[in-house]
Amino acid sequence: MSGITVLSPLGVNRVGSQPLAPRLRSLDGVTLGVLNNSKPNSLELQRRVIELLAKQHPVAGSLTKQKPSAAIGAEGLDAYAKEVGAVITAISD
Amino acid sequence: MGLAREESKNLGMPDLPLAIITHPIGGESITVIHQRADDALAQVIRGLTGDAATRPAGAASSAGPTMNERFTFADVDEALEAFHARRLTDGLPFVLPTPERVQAMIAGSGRQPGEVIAIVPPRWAEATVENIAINAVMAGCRPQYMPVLIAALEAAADPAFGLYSVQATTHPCAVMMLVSGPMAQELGLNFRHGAFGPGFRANASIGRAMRLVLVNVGGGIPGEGDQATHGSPAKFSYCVAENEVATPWEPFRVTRGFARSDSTVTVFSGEGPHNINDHVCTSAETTLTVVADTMTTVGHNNAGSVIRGDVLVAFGPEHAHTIASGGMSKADVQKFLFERARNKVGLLKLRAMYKAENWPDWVDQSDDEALCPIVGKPEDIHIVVTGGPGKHSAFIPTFGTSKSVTRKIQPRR
Repeated sequence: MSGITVLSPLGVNRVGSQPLAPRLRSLDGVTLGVLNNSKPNSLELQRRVIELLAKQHPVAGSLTKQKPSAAIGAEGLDAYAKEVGAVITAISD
Repeated sequence: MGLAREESKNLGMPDLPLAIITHPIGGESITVIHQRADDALAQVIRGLTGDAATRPAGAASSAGPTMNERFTFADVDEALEAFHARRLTDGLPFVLPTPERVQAMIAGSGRQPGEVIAIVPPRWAEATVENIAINAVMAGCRPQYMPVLIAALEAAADPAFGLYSVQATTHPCAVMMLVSGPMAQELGLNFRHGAFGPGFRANASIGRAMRLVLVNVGGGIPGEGDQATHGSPAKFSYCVAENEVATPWEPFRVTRGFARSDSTVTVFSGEGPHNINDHVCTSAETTLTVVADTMTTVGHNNAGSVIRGDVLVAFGPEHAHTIASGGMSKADVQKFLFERARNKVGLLKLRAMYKAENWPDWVDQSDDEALCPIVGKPEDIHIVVTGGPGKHSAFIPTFGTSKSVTRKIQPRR
């Protein structure tokens, strides 16, 4: 075939599919995790969400874990996951 | 939202529940933030208790192109236009990556084409020797530049560098490469007049190839995987070399623990260089005071974030000799700048990137007159000499949370 052949400069993502945790049937009695990334106002946003959830559901409480920066990964997530029933993380600003 | 959803797909969780919060969040009043939370509540509850799809683990999440995918076009012009239309370029003219050119570029590395050098976010795609070579061809590299590019990508993939954030952030940082060692001269890297500027194939094409890998392999496309508000001209190409001939101090790589006979490349999450212009000072102390003053502008990321980031001061040879002739070693310069490049707590409070929780414990946050450094320790202020004659130096602030990483450049095997 005439013409010009070139190679694709793209890369391939080989990350396998990851299963999501089952959703909760109810928030009643659940300890909610607040994984915060230190973006300005993000913790205030999450605190307000927890406050509103607690008004609607008898949650057990909340446990906040704060990263020093949005730019770096959180440490100790396996241990944190054992202490909470669900995690709300924020924000991708 | 686009980046968050794309990222959940790239990490194998396409159905991860996300809540959309109206932008902006930073800089808004508590009242506005509470309203944002009120508006998002239903989404959050649905995310916690709803029917998020689950799927078995293991299947590849991305149906991206195969590594050796080839395109055939009617002619050169059609091929060039197709690459631009598919956003596979930096917007400038480029060299078409034909199989023959790519093969020659791979040969320059001395490695196997399928060897994976890095996983590049936010697409989390493999940068193999082959697709690094493809992008190097497009950038106009010579095959002998490949070892520099490979070492730089290995460095950028180090978790300490935080490439995901460097790529995706709204901040204008680029991946700056600093080459130190004999290979700089051997490859024709410029380190004299215009060290940060255009005019030299090695600097320009190596820097450009890094950018093309970040775009084409990593998905750092402006407005998509790259959310930079403004971006930067530094994102076109950002590769500089140490002027070892003119430095009065030990070479950069030796300071970083490498042998004098090694060649290294160091990656910084650098802003474009900010000029430090001083034609008057005749002593080390006064010259460095001007440098420190330039380093303490409040609006760059390092000023408020502190704790983790690095910064780079690139001295012109004339400033460097003024300082060194006063008897100051590189470590002395780092110590001086660490102690002088500080802002008053009262100036930093509730401004810019204010994150007092990241400040050193010894900074008295209750005292508005107390001084806060811009990095955590003197060694985080990196020193290099580059450039030609003239009374200029440059300060390169960084993303603020990533560490610079150095790798030895392995000669062609």
